[in-house]
Amino acid sequence: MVNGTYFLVPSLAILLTIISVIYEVKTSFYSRKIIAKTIIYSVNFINIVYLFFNKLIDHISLFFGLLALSVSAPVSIYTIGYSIRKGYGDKLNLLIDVFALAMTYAFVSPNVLLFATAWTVAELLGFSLISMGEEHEERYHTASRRFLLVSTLTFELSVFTLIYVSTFILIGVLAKLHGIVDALTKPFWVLSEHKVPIPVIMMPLLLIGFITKAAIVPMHFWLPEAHSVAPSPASALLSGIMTSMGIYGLMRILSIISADMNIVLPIIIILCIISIAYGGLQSYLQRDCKRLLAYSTIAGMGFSLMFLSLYIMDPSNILYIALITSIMAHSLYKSTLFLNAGIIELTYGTRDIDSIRGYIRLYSTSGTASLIALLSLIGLPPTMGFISKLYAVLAVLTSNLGALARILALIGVVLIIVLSILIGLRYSRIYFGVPPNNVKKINDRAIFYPEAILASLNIISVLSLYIIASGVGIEFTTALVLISIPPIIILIYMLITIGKRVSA
Amino acid sequence: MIDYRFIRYITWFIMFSFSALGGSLSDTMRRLSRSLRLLAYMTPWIVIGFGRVIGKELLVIDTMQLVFLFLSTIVCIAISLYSEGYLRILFGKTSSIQIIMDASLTLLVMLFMARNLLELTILWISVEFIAFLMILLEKGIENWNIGMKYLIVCATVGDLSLFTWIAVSSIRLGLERALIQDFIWLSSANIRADPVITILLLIGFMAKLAQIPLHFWLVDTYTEAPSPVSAIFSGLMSKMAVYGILRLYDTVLLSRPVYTALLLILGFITVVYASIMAVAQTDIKKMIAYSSMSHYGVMAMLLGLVPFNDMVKMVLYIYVLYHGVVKAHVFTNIATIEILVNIRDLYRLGYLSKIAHKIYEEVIYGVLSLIGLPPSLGFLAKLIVIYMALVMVAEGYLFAFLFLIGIIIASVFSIIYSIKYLGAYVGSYVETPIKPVVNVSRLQYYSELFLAYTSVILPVILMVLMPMGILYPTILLVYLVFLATLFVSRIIYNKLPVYETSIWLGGVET
Repeated sequence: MVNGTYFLVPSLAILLTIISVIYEVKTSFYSRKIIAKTIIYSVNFINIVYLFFNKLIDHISLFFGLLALSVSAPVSIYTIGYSIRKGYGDKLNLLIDVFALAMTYAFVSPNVLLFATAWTVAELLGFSLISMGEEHEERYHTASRRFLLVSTLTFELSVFTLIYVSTFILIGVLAKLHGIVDALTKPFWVLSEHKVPIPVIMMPLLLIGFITKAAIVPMHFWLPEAHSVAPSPASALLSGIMTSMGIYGLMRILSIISADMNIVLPIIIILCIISIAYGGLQSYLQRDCKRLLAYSTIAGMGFSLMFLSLYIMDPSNILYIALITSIMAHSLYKSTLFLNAGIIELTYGTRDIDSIRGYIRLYSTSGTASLIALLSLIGLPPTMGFISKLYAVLAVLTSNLGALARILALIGVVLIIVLSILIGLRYSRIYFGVPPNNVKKINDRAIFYPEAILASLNIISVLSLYIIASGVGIEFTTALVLISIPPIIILIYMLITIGKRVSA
Repeated sequence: MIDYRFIRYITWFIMFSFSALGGSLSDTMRRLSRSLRLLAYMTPWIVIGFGRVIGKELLVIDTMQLVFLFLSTIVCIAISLYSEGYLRILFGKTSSIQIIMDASLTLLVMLFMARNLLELTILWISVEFIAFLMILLEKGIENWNIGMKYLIVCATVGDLSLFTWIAVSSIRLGLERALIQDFIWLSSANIRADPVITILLLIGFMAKLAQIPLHFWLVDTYTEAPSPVSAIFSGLMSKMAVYGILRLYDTVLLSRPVYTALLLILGFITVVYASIMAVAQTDIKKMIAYSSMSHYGVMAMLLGLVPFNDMVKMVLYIYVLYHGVVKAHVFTNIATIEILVNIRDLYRLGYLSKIAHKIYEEVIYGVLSLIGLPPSLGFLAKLIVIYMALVMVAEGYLFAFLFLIGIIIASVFSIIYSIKYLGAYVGSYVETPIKPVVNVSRLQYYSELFLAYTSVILPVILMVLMPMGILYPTILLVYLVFLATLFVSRIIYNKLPVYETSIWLGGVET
């Protein structure tokens, strides 16, 4: 059994977090809120690292937990200014913080019980965030739109139900082998030592919840509406972290069950390719910039899930790196861009991509930051997006996959490379040209700096390759970043110059 | 023990900062800006020369890279200076775009200096994206679709080939070593590629070289991009593909039959198609774009022959130099025509020699080179290409016939379209000549002149530098005679001008 002192730091962390959250909600001062939030996230950071070094969680949890924290901390600070300007009030701040922490603890929970609990809480909070966004939007929209909004909530509810089905089936199946208490409280890596055999017929029910959460094509319907009506910081979290929870769940589940995967995996891979193509093309055709990003999430998740399936087919190191980097790249650039979409909404009062122009003339910091994220979406060095695409191609070509899987995967990779260029460049048009006259320029560093920090993570995270990829040395990563400095400087300079010169 | 990578990075840093600084000063301190930019492009040569003096190889660089570096230095200097004048006429203020031009040119030079796959990949992808943005420089959103076509057809496919290259190397060596070891090390590592992988490896570079099934991006891009940018595209960026294939051939043991068949056959089809299309155009820029494409076909065919004869590589180097210099010259000349009269339709021109006498004098050198008449670089290039083809036919390689036919088609058609191009200057004209509103700046004139003189002086230097066997003494003599004739006739022409007083109508007295 684990020693009682092991829980000292976690319980302290929880206590401090609760105190800071209460303080943050009570105080009405801007800067004090920022301090309170900083305390929340740094305490939780220490907690996660502590849990890892005391071997209470494994490295997958550590990775996802730190990713979630590093995305949600800037998002949370951004929320302060956003909620005031958008008229959401303190409730949004509270919800975002608790939502982010719930997701983080879903990632770092070592056993099924905590995982399911934290996930449920996160799911409920996500649900209330979306409905909050809808209620808020409704003030501005006509009744004809109401039908659509109501249906979104139904979609979210059905997702919720599906996840319940999957989780309970998982618990039921585990309980059969390990006994109910052990199944719930044993850590994942202990469970994975004795894998639970599962008949193929059960697999769809077991996987459907997670596939729905990751928004793979037949179960994607809920995502575009949900992510585009939620408040922007919530969309950033939903799209950046919540969707990768589906992938994380599948990673966990597939590590503790043993089943005949020969039928399931090809189906998943084909579904993933369809979602890449469908999500990418839909995204390219959207006019609402948040819907554009939401559809591209479907494509991005299809890409990640494809690599998860390939990794299960051939558990080699390089496929694992490709999977991890694809998740990391996606959550970093997508959350930055959603924050950017929030600023766009505040400034222009619209999300129609064809009528938004001249963003870079209004905000140079924020413009540069979101251009970095866009470059990552497009996949240019030295951003994480480039690394992810590089490893994707390398993994597909060098691992020991079968011929069919390799061809399918190659199709998927080519599709995502081409479509993400199209999407990124379509989105980048908002930076060009002259802004319209009716813009409300905002001047608030507490909104812009978090976005800039999150954007810089798109490049800094490349250094983490040194830790993630055991075959890759510090020499490689530093060379990569060093060589890329001149190109990235000139690229961003060019984008800004063209943006300022060219009239749309 | 010196870390050579470190010296290379320092050189790059100096180049990049000098050129960016030079670009940013181009409005306020023009002289300083120009000398900084010249210094930036000369930096690699200074480092190499310094290394020779102290007896150490400071910049690790091989013959292949020297050729491409040499070409890029010449073309970069010319285009950088030219674009300053061009932008000043177009926009008044130059610095914001001049930085972009110079920094991108520097990145191109850096690409030719790269010594491992990591550097090559990063610079390659960045240059591709920068190229996309450069298409947008002048017209902006209008050119969006063309830029997209370029990016999707040319750039993305190229990236795939690069990634495949890394993958193939890393199967054998492990990822990190494949990426950061020097090319010499890679070529001794015995990396193999089966036929399918060979096609995958080549297809990206062939798209970049606009070979037939993937050629359709080229004409739009070259025509719609600003003309100095087209000069970069045609003069330097297409050479990236040649360099890529040569490097690929060096480092990976490709499947020989597939390699040769693919390059030779597609190259041949491209030559025939592009030559015919070039002759049929009336837009001069389109015509030169198609002409570039036919030259790429020739280069692809030459690349296909590399495995069979040691001489082919050297011939290819000279051809690359020739094409780079001449296309940079012709495209900058088109930019000049655009500034003077803003017409590109051949049949509405024809009077340019009347309104821009000095430009006409120097463009003759370019056209001579494009046709392949002595004493230009084009003559040398075409001569040794045909010589080599004949040698290979004599050695019994049947497919060299295909190559010979391709070369002959390209040469014949090149004469036609070059004469047609010259027709813009001295043809008969139907419209009243436009009097140019702005005159071409001296900077533009001298950078064109620099390219023009390069294309006649370079052959002599090349012949002194490169071993050429039996051809050597005779060709050198022919060259010197022609060169002397050209310069003497130019002097006579300038000193004793003959102007016609009345229109001469074929000898009929009126």
